[in-house]
Amino acid sequence: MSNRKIEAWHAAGLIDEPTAARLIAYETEHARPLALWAVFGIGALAIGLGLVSIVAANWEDIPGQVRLGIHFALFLGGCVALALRDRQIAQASPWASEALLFVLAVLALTFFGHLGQVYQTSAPLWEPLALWLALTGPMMLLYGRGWPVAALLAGGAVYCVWEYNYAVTDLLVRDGDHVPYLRAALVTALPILFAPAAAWMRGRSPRSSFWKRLEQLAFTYAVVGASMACVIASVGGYGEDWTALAASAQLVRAAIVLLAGIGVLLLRRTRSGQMAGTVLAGAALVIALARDVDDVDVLAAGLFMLLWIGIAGAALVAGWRGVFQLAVAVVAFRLIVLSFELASDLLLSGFGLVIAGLMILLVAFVAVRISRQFAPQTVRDDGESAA
Amino acid sequence: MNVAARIAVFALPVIGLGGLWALSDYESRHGTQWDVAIEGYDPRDLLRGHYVEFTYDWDVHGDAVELQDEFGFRQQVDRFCLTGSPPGPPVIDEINGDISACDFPVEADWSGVYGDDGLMRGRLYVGQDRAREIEQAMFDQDMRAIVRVRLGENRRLTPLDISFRPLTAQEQSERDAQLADVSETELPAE
Repeated sequence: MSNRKIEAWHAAGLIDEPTAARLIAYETEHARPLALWAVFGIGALAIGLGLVSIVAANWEDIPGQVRLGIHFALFLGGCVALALRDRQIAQASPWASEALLFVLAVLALTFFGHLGQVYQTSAPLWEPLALWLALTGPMMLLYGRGWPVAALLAGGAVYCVWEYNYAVTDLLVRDGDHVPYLRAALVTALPILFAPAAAWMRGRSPRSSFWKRLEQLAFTYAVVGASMACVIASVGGYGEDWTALAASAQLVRAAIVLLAGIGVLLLRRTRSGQMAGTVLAGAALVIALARDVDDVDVLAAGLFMLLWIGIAGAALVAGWRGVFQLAVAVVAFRLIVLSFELASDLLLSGFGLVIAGLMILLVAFVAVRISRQFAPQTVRDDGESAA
Repeated sequence: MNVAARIAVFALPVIGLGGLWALSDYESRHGTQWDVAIEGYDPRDLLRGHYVEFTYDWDVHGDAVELQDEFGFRQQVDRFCLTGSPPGPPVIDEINGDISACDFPVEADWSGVYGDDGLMRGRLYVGQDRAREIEQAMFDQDMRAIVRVRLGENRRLTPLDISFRPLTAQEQSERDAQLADVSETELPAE
Protein backbone atom coordinates (compact mmCIF):
# COMPACT_ATOMS: atom_id res chain seq x y z
CA MET A 1 0.00 0.00 0.00
CA SER A 2 1.33 3.42 -0.84
CA ASN A 3 1.88 6.01 1.86
CA ARG A 4 -0.18 8.46 -0.17
CA LYS A 5 -3.37 6.62 0.88
CA ILE A 6 -2.43 6.82 4.56
CA GLU A 7 -1.70 10.55 4.20
CA ALA A 8 -5.05 11.05 2.48
CA TRP A 9 -6.87 9.23 5.32
CA HIS A 10 -4.99 11.37 7.83
CA ALA A 11 -5.93 14.56 5.91
CA ALA A 12 -9.59 13.45 5.85
CA GLY A 13 -9.48 13.03 9.62
CA LEU A 14 -10.09 9.25 9.51
CA ILE A 15 -6.87 8.45 11.44
CA ASP A 16 -4.87 10.59 13.80
CA GLU A 17 -1.24 11.67 13.43
CA PRO A 18 0.46 8.95 15.58
CA THR A 19 -1.60 6.20 13.88
CA ALA A 20 -0.60 7.52 10.46
CA ALA A 21 3.04 7.59 11.53
CA ARG A 22 2.81 4.04 12.92
CA LEU A 23 1.12 2.79 9.75
CA ILE A 24 3.77 4.39 7.57
CA ALA A 25 6.55 2.93 9.73
CA TYR A 26 4.90 -0.52 9.59
CA GLU A 27 4.44 -0.36 5.83
CA THR A 28 8.06 0.68 5.31
CA GLU A 29 9.28 -2.18 7.45
CA HIS A 30 7.07 -4.81 5.81
CA ALA A 31 7.30 -3.48 2.28
CA ARG A 32 7.59 -6.26 -0.30
CA PRO A 33 9.29 -4.79 -3.33
CA LEU A 34 7.59 -7.22 -5.72
CA ALA A 35 8.76 -5.41 -8.83
CA LEU A 36 12.36 -5.54 -7.66
CA TRP A 37 12.03 -9.21 -6.76
CA ALA A 38 10.54 -9.89 -10.15
CA VAL A 39 13.49 -8.22 -11.88
CA PHE A 40 15.95 -10.21 -9.76
CA GLY A 41 13.96 -13.35 -10.45
CA ILE A 42 13.98 -12.80 -14.19
CA GLY A 43 17.71 -12.07 -14.09
CA ALA A 44 18.43 -15.23 -12.11
CA LEU A 45 16.20 -17.29 -14.41
CA ALA A 46 17.99 -15.90 -17.49
CA ILE A 47 21.39 -16.75 -16.04
CA GLY A 48 20.21 -20.24 -15.07
CA LEU A 49 18.66 -20.96 -18.47
CA GLY A 50 21.75 -19.56 -20.18
CA LEU A 51 24.02 -21.87 -18.19
CA VAL A 52 21.80 -24.85 -18.98
CA SER A 53 21.84 -24.11 -22.69
CA ILE A 54 25.61 -23.49 -22.75
CA VAL A 55 26.09 -26.91 -21.15
CA ALA A 56 23.48 -28.52 -23.43
CA ALA A 57 24.96 -27.06 -26.63
CA ASN A 58 28.46 -28.23 -25.73
CA TRP A 59 27.38 -31.49 -24.14
CA GLU A 60 29.09 -33.70 -26.71
CA ASP A 61 32.27 -31.63 -26.62
CA ILE A 62 32.67 -32.17 -22.89
CA PRO A 63 34.60 -35.44 -22.49
CA GLY A 64 32.45 -38.18 -20.97
CA GLN A 65 34.76 -38.68 -18.00
CA VAL A 66 34.60 -34.97 -17.14
CA ARG A 67 30.81 -34.93 -17.35
CA LEU A 68 30.51 -38.03 -15.19
CA GLY A 69 33.06 -36.55 -12.79
CA ILE A 70 31.01 -33.37 -12.34
CA HIS A 71 27.80 -35.39 -11.97
CA PHE A 72 29.42 -37.63 -9.38
CA ALA A 73 30.98 -34.70 -7.50
CA LEU A 74 27.59 -32.97 -7.25
CA PHE A 75 26.08 -36.14 -5.83
CA LEU A 76 28.96 -36.64 -3.41
CA GLY A 77 28.81 -33.02 -2.25
CA GLY A 78 25.06 -33.29 -1.61
CA CYS A 79 25.54 -36.49 0.35
CA VAL A 80 28.24 -34.93 2.52
CA ALA A 81 26.12 -31.83 3.11
CA LEU A 82 23.08 -33.87 4.12
CA ALA A 83 25.08 -36.29 6.27
CA LEU A 84 26.83 -33.51 8.20
CA ARG A 85 24.28 -30.71 8.23
CA ASP A 86 20.84 -32.31 7.92
CA ARG A 87 19.69 -31.10 11.34
CA GLN A 88 20.73 -27.49 10.70
CA ILE A 89 19.18 -27.48 7.22
CA ALA A 90 15.94 -28.97 8.54
CA GLN A 91 15.79 -26.42 11.34
CA ALA A 92 16.07 -23.59 8.85
CA SER A 93 13.43 -25.21 6.63
CA PRO A 94 12.28 -28.86 6.53
CA TRP A 95 11.52 -28.37 2.85
CA ALA A 96 15.13 -27.46 2.08
CA SER A 97 16.28 -30.78 3.51
CA GLU A 98 13.51 -32.64 1.66
CA ALA A 99 14.38 -30.86 -1.60
CA LEU A 100 18.09 -31.65 -1.22
CA LEU A 101 17.32 -35.33 -0.61
CA PHE A 102 14.98 -35.42 -3.62
CA VAL A 103 17.62 -33.82 -5.86
CA LEU A 104 20.24 -36.29 -4.60
CA ALA A 105 18.01 -39.26 -5.40
CA VAL A 106 17.28 -37.88 -8.88
CA LEU A 107 21.00 -37.21 -9.46
CA ALA A 108 21.70 -40.85 -8.58
CA LEU A 109 18.97 -42.04 -10.95
CA THR A 110 20.19 -39.92 -13.86
CA PHE A 111 23.74 -41.16 -13.24
CA PHE A 112 22.67 -44.54 -14.62
CA GLY A 113 21.43 -42.94 -17.82
CA HIS A 114 24.56 -40.82 -18.02
CA LEU A 115 26.80 -43.90 -17.72
CA GLY A 116 24.84 -45.55 -20.53
CA GLN A 117 25.28 -42.49 -22.70
CA VAL A 118 29.04 -42.25 -22.15
CA TYR A 119 29.78 -45.97 -22.52
CA GLN A 120 27.03 -46.78 -25.07
CA THR A 121 25.63 -49.50 -22.84
CA SER A 122 22.05 -50.60 -22.44
CA ALA A 123 20.12 -52.83 -20.08
CA PRO A 124 16.46 -53.65 -19.39
CA LEU A 125 15.09 -50.65 -17.51
CA TRP A 126 14.25 -52.56 -14.35
CA GLU A 127 17.90 -53.34 -13.68
CA PRO A 128 19.12 -49.75 -13.18
CA LEU A 129 15.84 -48.92 -11.39
CA ALA A 130 16.26 -51.83 -8.97
CA LEU A 131 19.89 -50.95 -8.37
CA TRP A 132 18.88 -47.34 -7.80
CA LEU A 133 16.24 -48.40 -5.25
CA ALA A 134 18.78 -50.60 -3.49
CA LEU A 135 21.41 -47.86 -3.36
CA THR A 136 19.30 -44.79 -2.54
CA GLY A 137 16.29 -46.46 -0.85
CA PRO A 138 17.92 -46.54 2.62
CA MET A 139 18.83 -42.87 2.29
CA MET A 140 15.26 -41.92 1.35
CA LEU A 141 13.75 -44.06 4.12
CA LEU A 142 16.05 -42.62 6.76
CA TYR A 143 15.86 -38.96 5.74
CA GLY A 144 12.55 -38.49 3.86
CA ARG A 145 10.28 -35.90 5.50
CA GLY A 146 7.33 -35.39 3.17
CA TRP A 147 5.46 -36.41 0.07
CA PRO A 148 8.09 -35.59 -2.62
CA VAL A 149 10.55 -38.24 -1.44
CA ALA A 150 7.75 -40.66 -0.51
CA ALA A 151 6.30 -40.30 -4.02
CA LEU A 152 9.71 -40.72 -5.64
CA LEU A 153 10.38 -43.87 -3.64
CA ALA A 154 6.95 -45.47 -4.11
CA GLY A 155 6.70 -44.36 -7.75
CA GLY A 156 10.19 -45.68 -8.50
CA ALA A 157 9.33 -49.00 -6.88
CA VAL A 158 6.06 -49.41 -8.80
CA TYR A 159 7.71 -48.46 -12.10
CA CYS A 160 10.56 -50.86 -11.42
CA VAL A 161 8.35 -53.88 -10.64
CA TRP A 162 6.23 -53.40 -13.78
CA GLU A 163 9.33 -52.98 -15.93
CA TYR A 164 10.56 -56.23 -14.40
CA ASN A 165 7.23 -57.87 -15.17
CA TYR A 166 7.46 -56.67 -18.78
CA ALA A 167 11.08 -57.84 -19.14
CA VAL A 168 10.63 -61.39 -17.84
CA THR A 169 7.17 -62.11 -19.24
CA ASP A 170 7.61 -60.48 -22.66
CA LEU A 171 10.84 -58.74 -23.66
CA LEU A 172 13.31 -61.51 -22.78
CA VAL A 173 11.07 -64.47 -23.57
CA ARG A 174 12.43 -66.64 -26.37
CA ASP A 175 10.32 -69.13 -28.27
CA GLY A 176 9.64 -72.15 -26.08
CA ASP A 177 10.98 -70.54 -22.90
CA HIS A 178 9.30 -71.05 -19.56
CA VAL A 179 7.81 -67.73 -18.45
CA PRO A 180 8.38 -67.14 -14.69
CA TYR A 181 4.97 -65.47 -14.30
CA LEU A 182 4.45 -66.40 -10.65
CA ARG A 183 7.72 -64.73 -9.70
CA ALA A 184 6.72 -61.72 -11.80
CA ALA A 185 3.31 -61.56 -10.07
CA LEU A 186 4.98 -61.74 -6.66
CA VAL A 187 7.36 -58.92 -7.59
CA THR A 188 4.58 -56.67 -8.94
CA ALA A 189 2.76 -56.94 -5.59
CA LEU A 190 5.81 -56.12 -3.44
CA PRO A 191 5.35 -52.29 -3.32
CA ILE A 192 2.14 -52.93 -1.30
CA LEU A 193 4.38 -54.00 1.56
CA PHE A 194 5.34 -50.35 2.06
CA ALA A 195 1.89 -50.06 3.71
CA PRO A 196 2.46 -52.25 6.81
CA ALA A 197 6.06 -51.05 7.10
CA ALA A 198 4.98 -47.41 7.02
CA ALA A 199 2.04 -48.13 9.35
CA TRP A 200 4.50 -49.52 11.86
CA MET A 201 6.88 -46.57 11.54
CA ARG A 202 4.16 -43.90 11.72
CA GLY A 203 3.82 -44.05 15.48
CA ARG A 204 7.54 -44.47 16.12
CA SER A 205 9.25 -41.91 13.92
CA PRO A 206 9.46 -38.14 14.34
CA ARG A 207 8.96 -38.00 10.55
CA SER A 208 5.41 -39.35 10.76
CA SER A 209 4.15 -37.33 7.76
CA PHE A 210 6.67 -39.13 5.51
CA TRP A 211 5.50 -42.56 6.66
CA LYS A 212 1.88 -41.50 6.39
CA ARG A 213 2.40 -40.50 2.76
CA LEU A 214 4.24 -43.72 2.03
CA GLU A 215 1.40 -45.76 3.54
CA GLN A 216 -1.16 -43.77 1.55
CA LEU A 217 0.76 -44.37 -1.68
CA ALA A 218 0.97 -48.13 -1.06
CA PHE A 219 -2.74 -48.16 -0.16
CA THR A 220 -3.52 -46.29 -3.39
CA TYR A 221 -1.45 -48.79 -5.38
CA ALA A 222 -3.50 -51.68 -3.92
CA VAL A 223 -6.85 -49.98 -4.57
CA VAL A 224 -5.88 -48.99 -8.11
CA GLY A 225 -4.65 -52.55 -8.70
CA ALA A 226 -7.91 -54.07 -7.46
CA SER A 227 -9.91 -51.60 -9.59
CA MET A 228 -7.81 -52.53 -12.63
CA ALA A 229 -8.46 -56.20 -11.91
CA CYS A 230 -12.22 -55.44 -12.20
CA VAL A 231 -11.78 -53.31 -15.32
CA ILE A 232 -9.85 -56.15 -16.98
CA ALA A 233 -12.77 -58.49 -16.10
CA SER A 234 -15.20 -55.96 -17.60
CA VAL A 235 -13.45 -56.07 -20.96
CA GLY A 236 -12.95 -59.83 -20.79
CA GLY A 237 -9.18 -59.53 -20.58
CA TYR A 238 -8.59 -62.68 -18.52
CA GLY A 239 -9.86 -64.91 -21.28
CA GLU A 240 -6.82 -64.26 -23.39
CA ASP A 241 -3.96 -66.66 -23.06
CA TRP A 242 -1.76 -64.27 -21.13
CA THR A 243 0.04 -65.93 -18.25
CA ALA A 244 0.84 -62.63 -16.51
CA LEU A 245 -2.85 -62.62 -15.45
CA ALA A 246 -3.20 -66.37 -14.82
CA ALA A 247 -5.37 -67.46 -11.88
CA SER A 248 -2.35 -68.50 -9.82
CA ALA A 249 -0.60 -65.18 -10.56
CA GLN A 250 -3.65 -63.23 -9.37
CA LEU A 251 -3.83 -65.37 -6.23
CA VAL A 252 -0.20 -64.59 -5.48
CA ARG A 253 -0.92 -60.87 -5.85
CA ALA A 254 -4.05 -61.16 -3.68
CA ALA A 255 -2.09 -63.02 -1.00
CA ILE A 256 0.51 -60.24 -0.77
CA VAL A 257 -2.20 -57.55 -0.56
CA LEU A 258 -3.99 -59.58 2.14
CA LEU A 259 -0.72 -59.89 4.03
CA ALA A 260 -0.24 -56.13 3.82
CA GLY A 261 -3.81 -55.57 5.07
CA ILE A 262 -3.34 -57.86 8.07
CA GLY A 263 -0.06 -56.11 8.75
CA VAL A 264 -1.72 -52.68 8.81
CA LEU A 265 -4.56 -54.04 11.01
CA LEU A 266 -2.08 -55.37 13.54
CA LEU A 267 0.42 -52.52 13.44
CA ARG A 268 -1.76 -49.41 13.47
CA ARG A 269 -4.42 -49.83 16.09
CA THR A 270 -6.37 -46.66 15.47
CA ARG A 271 -9.76 -46.40 13.80
CA SER A 272 -8.10 -45.13 10.61
CA GLY A 273 -5.53 -47.95 10.72
CA GLN A 274 -8.22 -50.61 11.21
CA MET A 275 -10.18 -49.25 8.25
CA ALA A 276 -7.09 -49.02 6.02
CA GLY A 277 -6.25 -52.64 6.84
CA THR A 278 -9.81 -53.74 6.16
CA VAL A 279 -9.88 -52.01 2.78
CA LEU A 280 -6.59 -53.70 1.84
CA ALA A 281 -8.04 -57.09 2.79
CA GLY A 282 -11.11 -56.28 0.68
CA ALA A 283 -8.91 -55.28 -2.24
CA ALA A 284 -7.13 -58.63 -1.93
CA LEU A 285 -10.48 -60.43 -2.13
CA VAL A 286 -11.46 -58.41 -5.21
CA ILE A 287 -8.16 -59.21 -6.95
CA ALA A 288 -8.68 -62.91 -6.23
CA LEU A 289 -12.32 -62.92 -7.40
CA ALA A 290 -12.10 -60.64 -10.45
CA ARG A 291 -10.90 -63.48 -12.66
CA ASP A 292 -14.06 -65.48 -11.95
CA VAL A 293 -16.38 -62.76 -13.26
CA ASP A 294 -14.40 -62.36 -16.48
CA ASP A 295 -16.54 -60.93 -19.28
CA VAL A 296 -19.73 -60.88 -17.20
CA ASP A 297 -20.66 -57.19 -17.36
CA VAL A 298 -22.95 -56.98 -14.34
CA LEU A 299 -20.81 -59.03 -11.99
CA ALA A 300 -17.57 -57.29 -12.98
CA ALA A 301 -19.16 -53.88 -12.46
CA GLY A 302 -20.77 -55.14 -9.23
CA LEU A 303 -17.42 -56.27 -7.86
CA PHE A 304 -15.89 -52.92 -8.77
CA MET A 305 -18.69 -50.99 -7.07
CA LEU A 306 -18.58 -53.29 -4.05
CA LEU A 307 -14.93 -52.42 -3.61
CA TRP A 308 -15.62 -48.69 -3.81
CA ILE A 309 -18.74 -48.83 -1.62
CA GLY A 310 -16.56 -50.61 0.90
CA ILE A 311 -14.01 -47.81 0.62
CA ALA A 312 -16.79 -45.24 1.11
CA GLY A 313 -17.96 -47.10 4.22
CA ALA A 314 -14.43 -47.28 5.60
CA ALA A 315 -14.02 -43.56 4.90
CA LEU A 316 -17.23 -42.83 6.84
CA VAL A 317 -15.98 -44.74 9.86
CA ALA A 318 -12.43 -43.39 9.72
CA GLY A 319 -13.35 -39.83 8.83
CA TRP A 320 -11.60 -39.54 5.48
CA ARG A 321 -13.70 -36.83 3.84
CA GLY A 322 -11.90 -36.62 0.49
CA VAL A 323 -11.74 -40.40 0.12
CA PHE A 324 -15.49 -40.67 0.77
CA GLN A 325 -16.31 -38.09 -1.89
CA LEU A 326 -13.96 -39.74 -4.37
CA ALA A 327 -15.53 -43.15 -3.69
CA VAL A 328 -19.07 -41.82 -4.27
CA ALA A 329 -17.96 -40.19 -7.52
CA VAL A 330 -16.27 -43.40 -8.70
CA VAL A 331 -19.35 -45.53 -7.95
CA ALA A 332 -21.59 -43.03 -9.77
CA PHE A 333 -19.26 -43.03 -12.78
CA ARG A 334 -19.19 -46.83 -12.84
CA LEU A 335 -23.01 -46.93 -12.74
CA ILE A 336 -23.17 -44.67 -15.78
CA VAL A 337 -20.61 -46.79 -17.65
CA LEU A 338 -22.51 -49.94 -16.72
CA SER A 339 -25.72 -48.58 -18.16
CA PHE A 340 -24.00 -48.11 -21.50
CA GLU A 341 -22.40 -51.57 -21.29
CA LEU A 342 -25.80 -53.17 -20.74
CA ALA A 343 -27.74 -51.11 -23.27
CA SER A 344 -25.25 -49.91 -25.83
CA ASP A 345 -28.11 -49.28 -28.26
CA LEU A 346 -29.28 -46.40 -26.02
CA LEU A 347 -26.99 -44.15 -28.02
CA LEU A 348 -28.44 -45.21 -31.35
CA SER A 349 -31.84 -43.53 -31.09
CA GLY A 350 -32.95 -40.05 -30.10
CA PHE A 351 -35.23 -41.39 -27.40
CA GLY A 352 -32.43 -43.57 -26.01
CA LEU A 353 -30.13 -40.56 -25.87
CA VAL A 354 -32.70 -38.61 -23.87
CA ILE A 355 -33.08 -41.50 -21.41
CA ALA A 356 -29.30 -41.86 -21.11
CA GLY A 357 -28.92 -38.14 -20.49
CA LEU A 358 -31.66 -38.13 -17.83
CA MET A 359 -30.09 -41.10 -16.12
CA ILE A 360 -26.65 -39.49 -16.04
CA LEU A 361 -28.19 -36.35 -14.50
CA LEU A 362 -30.03 -38.43 -11.91
CA VAL A 363 -26.97 -40.43 -10.91
CA ALA A 364 -24.83 -37.29 -10.75
CA PHE A 365 -27.49 -35.50 -8.66
CA VAL A 366 -27.80 -38.34 -6.17
CA ALA A 367 -24.02 -38.68 -5.96
CA VAL A 368 -23.56 -34.98 -5.25
CA ARG A 369 -26.29 -35.09 -2.58
CA ILE A 370 -24.79 -38.11 -0.85
CA SER A 371 -21.33 -36.62 -1.09
CA ARG A 372 -22.46 -33.34 0.50
CA GLN A 373 -24.76 -34.74 3.16
CA PHE A 374 -22.91 -37.73 4.44
CA ALA A 375 -19.24 -36.88 3.93
CA PRO A 376 -17.52 -37.10 7.32
CA GLN A 377 -15.63 -34.20 8.80
CA THR A 378 -11.93 -34.69 8.35
CA VAL A 379 -10.24 -35.80 11.54
CA ARG A 380 -7.48 -33.30 12.01
CA ASP A 381 -3.81 -33.28 12.74
CA ASP A 382 -3.24 -36.27 14.92
CA GLY A 383 -1.73 -37.96 11.91
CA GLU A 384 -5.00 -39.84 11.41
CA SER A 385 -6.81 -37.64 8.97
CA ALA A 386 -6.63 -40.09 6.09
CA ALA A 387 -5.53 -43.60 5.32
CA MET B 1 19.85 -42.24 14.48
CA ASN B 2 23.33 -43.47 15.20
CA VAL B 3 26.38 -42.22 13.37
CA ALA B 4 27.21 -45.55 11.72
CA ALA B 5 23.77 -45.81 10.07
CA ARG B 6 23.98 -42.20 8.95
CA ILE B 7 27.37 -42.74 7.30
CA ALA B 8 26.23 -46.07 5.82
CA VAL B 9 23.13 -44.74 4.02
CA PHE B 10 25.19 -42.10 2.23
CA ALA B 11 28.27 -44.24 1.67
CA LEU B 12 26.11 -46.94 0.02
CA PRO B 13 24.99 -44.94 -3.05
CA VAL B 14 28.36 -43.16 -3.34
CA ILE B 15 30.29 -46.45 -3.36
CA GLY B 16 27.64 -48.15 -5.51
CA LEU B 17 27.56 -45.49 -8.21
CA GLY B 18 31.34 -45.11 -8.10
CA GLY B 19 31.77 -48.85 -8.45
CA LEU B 20 29.34 -48.98 -11.36
CA TRP B 21 31.27 -46.21 -13.08
CA ALA B 22 34.58 -48.06 -12.54
CA LEU B 23 33.06 -51.29 -13.87
CA SER B 24 31.68 -49.57 -16.99
CA ASP B 25 35.06 -47.98 -17.58
CA TYR B 26 36.90 -51.28 -17.09
CA GLU B 27 34.61 -53.09 -19.52
CA SER B 28 34.96 -50.33 -22.09
CA ARG B 29 38.73 -50.89 -22.14
CA HIS B 30 38.55 -54.66 -22.64
CA GLY B 31 37.46 -56.90 -25.48
CA THR B 32 38.33 -56.68 -29.16
CA GLN B 33 37.42 -54.02 -31.70
CA TRP B 34 36.10 -54.91 -35.15
CA ASP B 35 35.21 -52.93 -38.26
CA VAL B 36 31.92 -54.10 -39.72
CA ALA B 37 30.36 -52.78 -42.93
CA ILE B 38 26.87 -51.37 -42.45
CA GLU B 39 24.04 -50.27 -44.65
CA GLY B 40 20.65 -48.71 -44.28
CA TYR B 41 21.81 -46.23 -41.72
CA ASP B 42 19.58 -43.49 -40.54
CA PRO B 43 20.40 -40.58 -38.21
CA ARG B 44 17.62 -40.19 -35.67
CA ASP B 45 16.83 -37.37 -33.38
CA LEU B 46 14.41 -38.46 -30.72
CA LEU B 47 13.87 -36.97 -27.29
CA ARG B 48 16.32 -39.35 -25.71
CA GLY B 49 19.17 -38.04 -27.81
CA HIS B 50 20.75 -38.24 -31.20
CA TYR B 51 21.65 -41.58 -32.60
CA VAL B 52 22.37 -43.32 -35.86
CA GLU B 53 20.45 -46.49 -36.58
CA PHE B 54 22.05 -48.98 -38.95
CA THR B 55 21.88 -52.54 -40.29
CA TYR B 56 25.01 -54.71 -40.14
CA ASP B 57 26.18 -55.98 -43.51
CA TRP B 58 27.87 -59.15 -42.21
CA ASP B 59 30.26 -60.97 -44.51
CA VAL B 60 28.66 -64.41 -44.44
CA HIS B 61 30.11 -67.64 -45.90
CA GLY B 62 29.23 -71.32 -45.96
CA ASP B 63 25.78 -72.59 -45.00
CA ALA B 64 24.86 -69.28 -43.43
CA VAL B 65 24.64 -67.60 -46.86
CA GLU B 66 21.27 -69.25 -47.39
CA LEU B 67 19.85 -67.48 -44.38
CA GLN B 68 20.75 -64.00 -45.55
CA ASP B 69 18.86 -61.85 -47.99
CA GLU B 70 18.90 -58.16 -48.81
CA PHE B 71 16.91 -57.34 -45.66
CA GLY B 72 19.24 -59.13 -43.26
CA PHE B 73 18.76 -62.61 -41.83
CA ARG B 74 15.62 -64.61 -42.40
CA GLN B 75 15.53 -66.14 -38.94
CA GLN B 76 16.29 -65.11 -35.37
CA VAL B 77 20.05 -64.85 -34.96
CA ASP B 78 21.09 -65.67 -31.44
CA ARG B 79 24.84 -66.22 -31.80
CA PHE B 80 27.68 -66.66 -34.22
CA CYS B 81 31.45 -66.82 -34.31
CA LEU B 82 33.61 -64.11 -35.84
CA THR B 83 36.67 -65.39 -37.68
CA GLY B 84 39.65 -63.35 -38.77
CA SER B 85 41.72 -61.10 -36.57
CA PRO B 86 40.53 -57.80 -35.15
CA PRO B 87 39.70 -55.32 -36.51
CA GLY B 88 38.68 -57.58 -39.36
CA PRO B 89 36.75 -57.37 -41.59
CA PRO B 90 35.16 -60.28 -39.70
CA VAL B 91 33.77 -63.32 -41.50
CA ILE B 92 30.89 -65.50 -40.31
CA ASP B 93 30.81 -69.18 -41.33
CA GLU B 94 27.88 -70.47 -39.31
CA ILE B 95 24.90 -68.95 -37.57
CA ASN B 96 23.36 -70.18 -34.28
CA GLY B 97 25.91 -73.00 -34.18
CA ASP B 98 28.18 -74.18 -31.39
CA ILE B 99 30.41 -71.30 -30.32
CA SER B 100 32.15 -72.94 -27.37
CA ALA B 101 35.45 -73.31 -29.22
CA CYS B 102 35.26 -69.89 -30.82
CA ASP B 103 37.85 -67.19 -30.13
CA PHE B 104 35.45 -64.33 -30.82
CA PRO B 105 31.93 -65.48 -29.93
CA VAL B 106 29.05 -63.02 -30.35
CA GLU B 107 25.64 -63.34 -28.71
CA ALA B 108 22.51 -61.26 -29.21
CA ASP B 109 21.59 -58.95 -26.35
CA TRP B 110 17.92 -59.81 -25.96
CA SER B 111 17.45 -57.07 -23.45
CA GLY B 112 18.77 -54.39 -25.80
CA VAL B 113 16.60 -51.97 -27.71
CA TYR B 114 16.37 -54.30 -30.73
CA GLY B 115 15.63 -57.46 -28.76
CA ASP B 116 16.07 -60.54 -30.96
CA ASP B 117 17.16 -58.26 -33.83
CA GLY B 118 20.26 -57.21 -31.93
CA LEU B 119 22.80 -58.85 -34.27
CA MET B 120 21.21 -57.38 -37.37
CA ARG B 121 20.62 -53.84 -36.28
CA GLY B 122 22.41 -51.44 -33.98
CA ARG B 123 22.48 -47.87 -32.91
CA LEU B 124 25.25 -45.45 -32.11
CA TYR B 125 24.55 -42.45 -29.91
CA VAL B 126 26.32 -39.42 -31.32
CA GLY B 127 26.31 -35.67 -30.88
CA GLN B 128 24.27 -33.28 -32.99
CA ASP B 129 27.22 -32.22 -35.18
CA ARG B 130 28.48 -35.74 -35.75
CA ALA B 131 24.96 -36.88 -36.63
CA ARG B 132 24.79 -34.16 -39.30
CA GLU B 133 28.18 -35.23 -40.74
CA ILE B 134 27.07 -38.84 -40.95
CA GLU B 135 23.80 -37.81 -42.54
CA GLN B 136 25.68 -35.93 -45.28
CA ALA B 137 28.21 -38.72 -45.81
CA MET B 138 25.49 -41.30 -46.33
CA PHE B 139 24.30 -39.55 -49.49
CA ASP B 140 27.70 -40.24 -51.10
CA GLN B 141 27.23 -43.35 -53.26
CA ASP B 142 30.98 -43.90 -53.59
CA MET B 143 31.55 -44.32 -49.88
CA ARG B 144 31.06 -47.35 -47.69
CA ALA B 145 29.99 -46.91 -44.07
CA ILE B 146 31.88 -48.90 -41.45
CA VAL B 147 30.95 -49.21 -37.81
CA ARG B 148 33.62 -49.94 -35.26
CA VAL B 149 32.22 -52.24 -32.60
CA ARG B 150 33.72 -53.52 -29.39
CA LEU B 151 33.20 -57.19 -28.69
CA GLY B 152 33.22 -57.42 -24.90
CA GLU B 153 34.03 -60.42 -22.74
CA ASN B 154 30.28 -60.71 -22.20
CA ARG B 155 29.97 -61.56 -25.96
CA ARG B 156 27.96 -58.40 -26.65
CA LEU B 157 28.59 -55.89 -29.41
CA THR B 158 28.88 -52.21 -28.50
CA PRO B 159 29.08 -49.72 -31.40
CA LEU B 160 31.83 -47.16 -30.85
CA ASP B 161 32.04 -45.04 -33.99
CA ILE B 162 31.01 -44.83 -37.62
CA SER B 163 33.49 -43.99 -40.38
CA PHE B 164 33.45 -43.98 -44.19
CA ARG B 165 35.87 -45.37 -46.76
CA PRO B 166 35.80 -45.27 -50.58
CA LEU B 167 34.26 -48.30 -52.31
CA THR B 168 36.72 -50.92 -53.58
CA ALA B 169 36.81 -51.63 -57.33
CA GLN B 170 34.79 -54.82 -56.82
CA GLU B 171 32.17 -53.08 -54.71
CA GLN B 172 31.94 -50.34 -57.33
CA SER B 173 31.26 -52.81 -60.13
CA GLU B 174 28.70 -54.63 -57.97
CA ARG B 175 26.94 -51.37 -57.28
CA ASP B 176 26.96 -50.36 -60.96
CA ALA B 177 25.52 -53.75 -61.91
CA GLN B 178 22.80 -53.32 -59.32
CA LEU B 179 21.95 -49.83 -60.54
CA ALA B 180 21.81 -51.09 -64.17
CA ASP B 181 19.55 -53.90 -63.00
CA VAL B 182 17.15 -51.47 -61.38
CA SER B 183 16.96 -49.19 -64.42
CA GLU B 184 16.29 -52.16 -66.76
CA THR B 185 13.44 -53.44 -64.65
CA GLU B 186 10.24 -52.29 -66.21
CA LEU B 187 7.09 -51.61 -64.31
CA PRO B 188 4.52 -54.33 -64.86
CA ALA B 189 1.70 -53.30 -67.22
CA GLU B 190 -1.58 -52.73 -65.48
